[in-house]
Amino acid sequence: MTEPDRSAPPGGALSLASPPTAPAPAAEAPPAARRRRGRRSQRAVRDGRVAYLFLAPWIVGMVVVTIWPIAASLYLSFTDYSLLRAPRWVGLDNFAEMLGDERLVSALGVTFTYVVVSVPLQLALALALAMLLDRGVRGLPFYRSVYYLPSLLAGSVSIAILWRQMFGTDGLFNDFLALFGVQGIGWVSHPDFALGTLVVLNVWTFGAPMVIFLAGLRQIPVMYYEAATVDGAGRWARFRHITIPLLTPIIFFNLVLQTIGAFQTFTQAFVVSGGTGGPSDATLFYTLYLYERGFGSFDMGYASALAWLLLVIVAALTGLNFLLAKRWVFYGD
Amino acid sequence: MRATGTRAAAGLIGAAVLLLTACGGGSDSQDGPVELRFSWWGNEQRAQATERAIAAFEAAHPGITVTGEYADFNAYFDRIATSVAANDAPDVITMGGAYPREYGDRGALLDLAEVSQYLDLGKLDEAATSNGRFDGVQYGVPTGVNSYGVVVNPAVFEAAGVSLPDDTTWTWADFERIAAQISAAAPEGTYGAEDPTSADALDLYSRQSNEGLYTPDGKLAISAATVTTWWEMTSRMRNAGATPPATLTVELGGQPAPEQTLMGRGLSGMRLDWSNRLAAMRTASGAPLVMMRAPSESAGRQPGMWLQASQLYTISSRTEHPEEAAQLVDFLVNDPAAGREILTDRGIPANPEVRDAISGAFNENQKVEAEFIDRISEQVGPPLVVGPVGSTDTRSILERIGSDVLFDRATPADAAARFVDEVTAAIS
Amino acid sequence: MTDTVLATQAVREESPPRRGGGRNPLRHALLIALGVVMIYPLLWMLSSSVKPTEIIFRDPSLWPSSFDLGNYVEGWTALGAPFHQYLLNSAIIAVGCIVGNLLSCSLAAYAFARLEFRGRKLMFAAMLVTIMLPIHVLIVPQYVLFSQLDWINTFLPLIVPKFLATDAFFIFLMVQFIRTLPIELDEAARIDGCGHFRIYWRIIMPLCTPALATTAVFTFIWSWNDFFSQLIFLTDQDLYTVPVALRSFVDGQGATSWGPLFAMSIVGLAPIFGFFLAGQRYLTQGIATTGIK
Repeated sequence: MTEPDRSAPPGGALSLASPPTAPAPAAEAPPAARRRRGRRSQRAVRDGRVAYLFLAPWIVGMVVVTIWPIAASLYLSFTDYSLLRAPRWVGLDNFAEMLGDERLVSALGVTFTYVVVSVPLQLALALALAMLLDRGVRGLPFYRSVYYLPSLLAGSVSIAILWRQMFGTDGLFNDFLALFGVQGIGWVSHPDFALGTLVVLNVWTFGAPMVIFLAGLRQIPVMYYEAATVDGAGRWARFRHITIPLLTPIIFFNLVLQTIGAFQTFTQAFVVSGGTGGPSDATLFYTLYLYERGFGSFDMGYASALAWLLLVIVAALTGLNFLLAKRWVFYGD
Repeated sequence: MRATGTRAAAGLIGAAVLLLTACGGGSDSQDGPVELRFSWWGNEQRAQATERAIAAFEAAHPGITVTGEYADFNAYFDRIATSVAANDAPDVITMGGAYPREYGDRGALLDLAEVSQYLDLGKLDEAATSNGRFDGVQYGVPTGVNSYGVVVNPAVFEAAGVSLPDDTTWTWADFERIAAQISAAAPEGTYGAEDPTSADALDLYSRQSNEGLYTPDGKLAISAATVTTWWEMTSRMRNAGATPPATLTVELGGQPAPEQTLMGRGLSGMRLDWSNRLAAMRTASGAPLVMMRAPSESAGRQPGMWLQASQLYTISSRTEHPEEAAQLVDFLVNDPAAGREILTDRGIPANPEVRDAISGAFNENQKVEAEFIDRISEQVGPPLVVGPVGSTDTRSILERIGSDVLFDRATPADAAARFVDEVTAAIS
Repeated sequence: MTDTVLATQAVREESPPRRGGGRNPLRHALLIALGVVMIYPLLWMLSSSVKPTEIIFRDPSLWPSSFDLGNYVEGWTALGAPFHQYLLNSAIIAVGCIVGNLLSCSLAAYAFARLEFRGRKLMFAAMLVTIMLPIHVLIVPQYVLFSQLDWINTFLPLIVPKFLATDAFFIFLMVQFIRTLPIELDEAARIDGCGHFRIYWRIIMPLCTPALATTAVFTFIWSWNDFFSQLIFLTDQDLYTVPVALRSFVDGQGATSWGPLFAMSIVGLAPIFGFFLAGQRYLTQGIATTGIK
């Protein structure tokens, strides 16, 4: 996607055109790139058929498994559908109802707040820990596993109870506050703090993006570091000019996926609030509201319309992410 | 390319609609063993008991095999809704509260009159049976009888030096006063009562002023004034420390399992709850909890209580084997062989013959529960009016607006007006 | 071709400069303190799993006053089938999903990352859009589809889609990893006469070990923890999976067997943790450590 400096990491301070250790083809970027550009159009023709072969399972999956539930949900968003009776076409009624839906507004508020706060926090922590754990620490596999464990737990039934043990009235957090003479409250169940505890819960599961970061860090050819060291680059310079730029595809991946995931947050909010989105709708996540309308109020038509609004929002944000990515993500190809 | 794509999409949507509406798959076994699917919610103990009852049924009815399907409460209704929507519902479906009406009024359940020769409802408690009848159509059969009252922990009363109330005459004012007394005298963390707000409590409370939550023709019956009085009382209690602070109440509300309630942990004197949860709370608290008649509005007036079907067995309207399904339901509610396995797990059996036949097998906890049902049976008011289509929402509306009251974000009067508006909208 | 790859491999033979951080006690103290906070809930669950159910909420202290493995015995046998049946069911599904995702997603990812074809951007966008709808509005049409195929109460609805690359997450993941690899590898291999399948299989896949391992680990965990679709598609108790079986201990209305629930939660956690421990070696096999012959 980014034209300049394909194989060398961007970063003016360093010159990496000829790494000392390995005069591998990888380092000879300019000629390779030129060659490729010249061949692109012929390749496109030749690649076409092969590409569809590679994509065959995915295409079959799209057509057979994926598309039609999606199409059905789109159709249902224009109907009055109680699940128990055949859907009845109502045109744009569901979308019109959204305009005056106050709970939808609060659900959007909750969800946006959550996405904006928890995604950057989680990613920053994941990246920091991944850097810290990547190399040079004894007992590395041990720490990695310990930090990853919460991610395994996050979707389980027990998490609701465990979270109360942390942030409930008698929870660990209040025990900790008591050490300083502070009388805590029931954080999970207070309208002003309940969402905060769910943000903490999400950040707590930073293990998943951390693992992806760790894997990404190992994709960075060491020669760059070695070259930089030879050039006298310090630790920070290496981080700033090698690690970060070369990790950007992975950072981007985590950002896009965690954002999409955060918009769809359901299980944790569901189990922690007992499925209500309470107290006072403080944790009424978008999907929770959608679920409540679909399965709780037997209004699957409206729920489908909600789902498509969510899709439009998330797709727009993802598109924006991809547009912005052109400015900061660097690929090896 | 584009044209075919559109046509394909149109075809798919068409197919989807057809599949969603048209009739389901064809198993065509006229002869050979009949296979029934029977679903319920609950934990593994209920599953074990139910599987034993199923085995007894299969022994008594060779040629019918029954497959049990169960899940926990929330998951259960998601699964049922999905399988009904996809035309793959179990033959016998356990329902509760207003669900039979939600499903029945939308045509998903069998009118049991069609199978009356296989299913005898005559011996069942009439009040409970009426919970499964809507607009004259019987959709559900009560699994057992249940009542909503006050669970009391005598140990907490004693420790606080408060004497137990006389539940034949007590009023809400007494309830409030006693709760405050206990809280004042009890160690920190123990409360006189748990916050009593729930849809069932509002039903009970409003029945005492001849309202109830719903009218028989499916409208909202409770008045904003009644709801206001209720929330004024609960607010006073909370401010006086008679009930726990708002955060604790909400915390407990989200985790309603008996073991997690303050009552189940021995930390409260009184709690409004269903009689079939008494046993679990007794086990959890390790205290000799008892069940009391609910307070009434003024001394001695009828306390608004009722006998309710704890759950209802219903039959899918799309079942291929309505007769056999009816036989299974009949066996479950009328045959002591089934009663001996299920005992009081689904409420005190609604058939007195079954109850008498198995009462010898009750343990201490079950005896207390059965005695309470016996005692209040003579004092109950008219049968409960089950909510209309849309009323399954009432609980979540109440919880949402109730927490605004708890956190002083709405005055009782404003909240009551909102409650009336929102429930009216949900059931219209 | 061999030369090319070996040359690239040589790029990374040892970890980059370490700076004595390995033995810094302060750093370890920090890491351990954070670790304790991280796994406190888990420790609490472990401790609760050896307490009798009645006292779990009455006595919430971390250190159990009594130690009793009864919950494990009870939990293992309390449900319709012994608990190892559910472990086995979950394992079958997990393995099927892993194989399916590794094969189908990597094929698709190679096409998206390395091949030029008409409609690439559009298809890539379509792929991402498929993961933007919440499952709750898709489950009913899916159920209709699978029940028409007569797949309800089989593992097929849970496994077959994975062989058809329906988990766009992993396609995207692998695309991102493949794109960090220098394209000159492919160029060189092509000059050596390799076709796309050879490049895919012999060069890209081995170099993507971390991405493949990540996919395997995540697929395992997701399918192991996936509750909703397993609940809906599997109603036969003998086919129940671990998360569905665990819910059988819960009853919102009556008693919940918390002790056995926590005990079996620990048991259910063990395989994913074990899988992670085993797999994490591959997670961090970078470009240099991958062996290619």
